[in-house]
Amino acid sequence: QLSQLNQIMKPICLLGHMRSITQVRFNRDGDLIFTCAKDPHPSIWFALNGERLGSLVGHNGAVWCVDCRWDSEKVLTGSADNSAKLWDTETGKCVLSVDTNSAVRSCGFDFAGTSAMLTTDKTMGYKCTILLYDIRQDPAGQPACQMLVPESKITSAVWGPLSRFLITGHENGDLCQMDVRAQKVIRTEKHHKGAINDIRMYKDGTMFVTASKDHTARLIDSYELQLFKTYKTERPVNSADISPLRPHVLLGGGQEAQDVTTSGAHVGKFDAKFFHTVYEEEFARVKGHFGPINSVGFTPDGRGFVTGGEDGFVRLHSFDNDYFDFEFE
Amino acid sequence: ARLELLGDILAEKPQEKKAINNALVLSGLPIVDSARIERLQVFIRDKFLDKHGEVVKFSMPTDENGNSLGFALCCFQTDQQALDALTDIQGASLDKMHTLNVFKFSDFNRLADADDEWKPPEKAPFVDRGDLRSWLREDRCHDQFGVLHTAGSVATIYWHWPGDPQPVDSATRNNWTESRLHWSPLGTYLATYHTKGIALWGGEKFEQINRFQHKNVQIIDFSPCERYLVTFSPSVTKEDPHAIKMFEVDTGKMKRSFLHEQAAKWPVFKWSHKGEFFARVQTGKALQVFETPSFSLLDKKSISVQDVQDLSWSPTDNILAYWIAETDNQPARVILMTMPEKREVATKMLFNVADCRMHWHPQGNYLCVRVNRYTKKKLDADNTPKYINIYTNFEVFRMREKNIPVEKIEVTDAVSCFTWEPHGSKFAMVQGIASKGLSVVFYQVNAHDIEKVKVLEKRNVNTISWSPIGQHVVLAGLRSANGGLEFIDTSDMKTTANQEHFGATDIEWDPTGRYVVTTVSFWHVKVDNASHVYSSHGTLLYKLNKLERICQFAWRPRPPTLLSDEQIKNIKKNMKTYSRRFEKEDLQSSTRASKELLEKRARLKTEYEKWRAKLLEKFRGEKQKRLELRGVDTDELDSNAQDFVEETLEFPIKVERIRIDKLPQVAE
Repeated sequence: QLSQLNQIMKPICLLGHMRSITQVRFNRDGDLIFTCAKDPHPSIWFALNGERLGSLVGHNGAVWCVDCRWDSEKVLTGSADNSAKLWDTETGKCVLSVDTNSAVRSCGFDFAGTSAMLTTDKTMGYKCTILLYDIRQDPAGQPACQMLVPESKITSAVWGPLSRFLITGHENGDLCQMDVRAQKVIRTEKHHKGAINDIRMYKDGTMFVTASKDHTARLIDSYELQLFKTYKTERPVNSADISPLRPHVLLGGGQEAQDVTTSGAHVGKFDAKFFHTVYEEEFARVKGHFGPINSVGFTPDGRGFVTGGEDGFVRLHSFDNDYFDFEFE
Repeated sequence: ARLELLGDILAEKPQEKKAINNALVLSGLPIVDSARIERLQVFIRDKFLDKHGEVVKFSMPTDENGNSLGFALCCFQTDQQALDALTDIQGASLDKMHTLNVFKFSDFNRLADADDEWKPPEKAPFVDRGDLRSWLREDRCHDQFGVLHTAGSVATIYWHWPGDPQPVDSATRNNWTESRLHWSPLGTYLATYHTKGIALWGGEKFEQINRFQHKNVQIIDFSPCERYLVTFSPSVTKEDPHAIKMFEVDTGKMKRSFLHEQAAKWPVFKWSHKGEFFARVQTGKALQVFETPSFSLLDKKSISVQDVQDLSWSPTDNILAYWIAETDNQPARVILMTMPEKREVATKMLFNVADCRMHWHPQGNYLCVRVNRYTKKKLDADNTPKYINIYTNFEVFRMREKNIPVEKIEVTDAVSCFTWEPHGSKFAMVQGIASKGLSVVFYQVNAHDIEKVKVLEKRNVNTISWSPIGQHVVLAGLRSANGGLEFIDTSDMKTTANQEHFGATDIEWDPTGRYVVTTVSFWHVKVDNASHVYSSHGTLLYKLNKLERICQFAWRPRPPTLLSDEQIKNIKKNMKTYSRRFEKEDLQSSTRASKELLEKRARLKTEYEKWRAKLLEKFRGEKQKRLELRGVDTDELDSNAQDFVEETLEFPIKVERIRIDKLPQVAE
């Protein structure tokens, strides 16, 4: 077992946020890291050495989500200040801003990079909504189309293959395929028993991994939402990602705030866990965070990974040779 | 208008009571002539009735000559009083030839209407329960354990194959029990709780053996022989006021039931080791010893003992130990009495006693009575005694020696967790108070004295758990004490391992003494619910953490070995030959296991590759669309290498600071 991974690899610690990290993302090329937190300024960093490129200034509240377009030219952020903003990556300038009725929980560019999807929270008077915008228009003005989600609110959402539909994870554990343009739910599956905290696509978009409050992460196909693998842990899973290089799945999580009684800052409880994709067995843990891990991601080349925690720290790891040679019998 | 008023009033007319629940019929009385009838009536009322309440009506019918007919009728003021009396005096003896037979008047009609002709009862069809001991015949003598998980909604029974426990076929059931799992003492049955009562399961497939009705049953107890089941439910009604019921396990019949008023520790009724007797204390008054299978009082009467506080049976002999509180003119006493002879075999007077607790050695070799004594005693405002300067004495009765000698140990510190070593002669306890540091102290009972063999200081321990076969012990700090586990081999008092299961709430040895399991139960802590399995020396073998929200982990008990002491001695002598055989078998099974594992993995891999192949087919089919959407091929990271832009970034690798004191002179 490679249980001492973190002794060999020394992580680069990105200290840029004053509050808990909400999401960490790479651009497609893997040279930039995007981080957002419960403070209003998302940051962009060089993955090579951890130097900060800059922050995006404009939001007035916690930033829940961030996405980078496939050509790395534009960045999309969604915030609790009831707005989503489009930024120019190179200059950090805000080029577009749309106001929503409630906090923006997820956001994402479609495959072509011409549309942006947003999902908003269910709050007083406003139902959870999915909004699609054509970002080629300037100003974007009204959403090209929108869809209300009547029952359980969306807690995580990504575009499906070829952006024909959205794949949404809900608070009650439901997983749906939503065709927003046709205003219908194509398919619903209930694989999880608790809220789905994160959904991450595999590099080719054919399958994805879900991270849930029910202590499991699951591997599911994008076309028919068929459950294929389940990874079990002892804690709620906040985020998960699939390695683009090896048959490994990375899970990050932690206990709920209200369950923190005596275990408190018990060292070692907040680890990033590695599972074998096919055998569903945990084979390694990497410690380091002082609080639950909220977001994880492999580097696009699979040679490292990044984790963002409740403690406000973002840790960038590079795998050493042992990781690439490691095989299950 | 008057007719309507009448209707209301009519509704209020008192109704005749259909059942007369406050009346009893006493039969079995002697037949006396008119001269002595008055005396008999007074005797009956004095001895049996008045103490249970107010007798509002009493009648002893006579024949035409004034002789009694052998029975009497009495009415109490309340139904409850009648019931109390019934339970208490039923079966009581008046004299050598007469025994009271009491029944409710409301039952009278039922009995009177019984058929005159006796019909033999229908033969119950024979139900083959199968082999209830099948689990003991497993090839490699593996034990079973039960786990209640998923917050109590699923229960699974496993075979404990070390490292890879396997669920027993058809023994994973949803909502199998509504509160907890309870194994019978010899492991034959699994008891589950339900609103309607208890169900017992057993046999190879855990089929239902029997059901016992007791609404809202809260807690149960088995007799050590497993022949009887005792249940308690706080839900009592007027029709069924008995909170404690006793059932015969084989037939499912209720044999007896009891009222229960005063607060007490469970079990209220304590069983003798073979299940021949069960007894309870009527605090301050008497010992009630019942015998089976009649379920009536031994010799038809209670044993009157003034100020008796508590009783306890020897685990291996029919000896009952009980203690009597001290009174103003009598010291406290501990008395050991054999049953059914009721012969006193040992007595110990104790002075200045505040409280006593009895701890039997599991093999009945010793009885240790922990006596809390005081130096001064005051009486509170309401006459409750208040004890000052409490210290503890341990009185150890050597049960196997002639005349049962008693030896004393004194401890000045506060004491908790007293435990005997099973199959050994040591005992251990935690001494001290948490703020000053707790110590664990071990004593050895030798032929002529009791020696303090080891003091382990500064141990945050609140549970001492001995292996069921003795010698090994685990000192644990459960619940709020951070889950520290110290494994000790008491043959040389060396610590074999120190482990930690943070937040552990329970600890249990398997019945063979090979494994120790610590559990973090969902009932106490909502996260990290898992069970950890250690060897007897403290090596962590594996963790049971794939089951969610584990509430309870319970080993299945084993019946005692059928081997004689002689046979066991022989086996230990020839251990080497046995070891060789078992090691060979172990080796074979471990390679077998890894072969199975490899096969399983190969299977999973092929399945996965098939699944991925299908998905990749779809992916390739969509390639054209992808090119259209983005204008370039982005399927791989280097698909559009021709578009790559080379960028040179400069980062300082090293920064050196050189101090220049003097600038070079500039030539004029």
